[in-house]
Amino acid sequence: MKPPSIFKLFLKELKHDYFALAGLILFSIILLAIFIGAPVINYFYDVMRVDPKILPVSPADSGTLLGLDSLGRNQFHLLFVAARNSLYLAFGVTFFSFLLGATVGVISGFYGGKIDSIVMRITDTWSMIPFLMVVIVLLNIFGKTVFNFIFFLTIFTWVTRARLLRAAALAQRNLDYINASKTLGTPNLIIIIREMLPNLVDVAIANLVLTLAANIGIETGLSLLGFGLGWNYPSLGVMMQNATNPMYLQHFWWVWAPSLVLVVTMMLCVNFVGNALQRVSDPKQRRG
Amino acid sequence: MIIRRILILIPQLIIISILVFILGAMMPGDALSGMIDPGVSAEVRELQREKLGLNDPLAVRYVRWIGGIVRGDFGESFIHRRPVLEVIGERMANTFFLSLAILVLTYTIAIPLGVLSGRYSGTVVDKAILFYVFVSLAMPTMVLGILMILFFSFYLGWFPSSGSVDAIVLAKGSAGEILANRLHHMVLPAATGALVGMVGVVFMLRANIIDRAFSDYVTLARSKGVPEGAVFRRHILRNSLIPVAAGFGFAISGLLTGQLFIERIFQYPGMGHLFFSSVKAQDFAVVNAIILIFSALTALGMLISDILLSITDPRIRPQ
Repeated sequence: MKPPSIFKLFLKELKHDYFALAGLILFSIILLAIFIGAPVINYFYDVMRVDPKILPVSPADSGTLLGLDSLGRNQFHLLFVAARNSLYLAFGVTFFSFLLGATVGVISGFYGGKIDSIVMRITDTWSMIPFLMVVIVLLNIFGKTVFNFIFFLTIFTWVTRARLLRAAALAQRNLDYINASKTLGTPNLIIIIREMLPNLVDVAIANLVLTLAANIGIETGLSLLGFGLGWNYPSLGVMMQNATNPMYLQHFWWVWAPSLVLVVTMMLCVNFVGNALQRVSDPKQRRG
Repeated sequence: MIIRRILILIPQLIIISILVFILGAMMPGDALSGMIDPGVSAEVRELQREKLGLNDPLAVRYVRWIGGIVRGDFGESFIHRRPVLEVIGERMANTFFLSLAILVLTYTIAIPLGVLSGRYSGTVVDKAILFYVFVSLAMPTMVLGILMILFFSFYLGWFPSSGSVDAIVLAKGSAGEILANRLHHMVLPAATGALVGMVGVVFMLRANIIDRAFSDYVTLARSKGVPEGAVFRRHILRNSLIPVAAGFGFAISGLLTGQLFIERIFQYPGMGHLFFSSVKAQDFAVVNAIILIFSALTALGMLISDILLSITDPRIRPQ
């Protein structure tokens, strides 16, 4: 008998977890709106066109939905483009760091022994480095671009992914189905891909989704402080930068509030979904 | 086992120090930038560089650098014009006390919440706690900090939004007043740190308790007729707290890095704040030293965690 796939289990779980269901729907809507809206807006308007004002203009005074910032940019239009950039970044970091981490982790867990202990020493050492600080310094040296951001975050965050997948692979490596496959003379690579990976998908997907939320947060935090992306790369964190200025924080809410609400909403949705997925991967915690 | 673990630490720290050194070598500027005025000719500058050994091969410079650090000499900050260790030392106490406050707050909030939601999983209590934890989780530290400042500092006016102590109190107040003022400044950053930090602990504790509740030894205890309260206290809770205790070691050092953001947003003059202003000013001697110190602290935290784990959990103690 085939065990039920993670997606079927997930759907079942959703019936018992309305938050996850709502999160999934809301996040899908947000994604659609952003990825359709951003190109459309970019096509019709020059979002980055600067028309300096000394102070931001409120929604009521400017006749636009979310007002203008102190550079005279339309906040509503900017929000779409910023959100798209932030999502690209978060997706990019999540994907590449997972790819690298999962590869190293699964190989290390599958082969075990010497390879495993060497890899574990490396990841141990690597994870002692305060990666956010190093990333901040590296971005400062090599420039605050989207590529650098994804690249540097990837080379420091794969470690966590590697450890997780290594533990999961280690738990599988001595099970009967793997041993049976080995006895049959199946090449190791085929065993890993055809036999082992399907059993790691549960853990991987849940983790992938939760990491996505965390990466949205990292971008926001770094950019907000002025140590992430520069002002000429609109992102949700960059849009919130003004909130660190007490005057803006108190009097010009429309400059920072929309991106703040969007970030929190997206992270909340993604976390609900990720948590439901995590419960699916651990039978004891399932509700469905 | 502990000795072996410490021995492994030495090569790891050496590798990290090499990486940090390379990072430092990539940074623009050197010990001379900012010291020599632009009027000085290139030859004189070159002579100075030669004298200070800045033109030596990387490996030679590394050995000299690490030799200095072992003796407690982290070089000189060219912004502050003082030894790096002195500059960092001043901030260290601030960071330490804030860490301590966050650590205590985190666990006093997280453990009861985790226990409640694990024990009564699926009930309204559990759902309410989980919802709260999720909202907390969805707030990047910075965002929460901003909202705290906006609400408690600007709107309600209860707590100061920045700094660690008012200059006027520091100059004129008695010891008690200074302490009170410091604590008053610490409330918002500490609360922010704790609200962010507790999320992981609550989740871990809850998951552990639920996992344990289904294990064979718990079923056995129940079928023996052990009262439910005792089953929970003796069999479920004690085992569930093991990983939490182990995480404590991490928390001690991990909080230092988490504070990076908190210190910045609340303008709290600790090491994290120093780090950001040094990056901005390109004062890389300080930046390097802070990264190295944080790495060493993280390594120490990992070591403490491992030791705690081997003390609290006899199963992983090697024979």
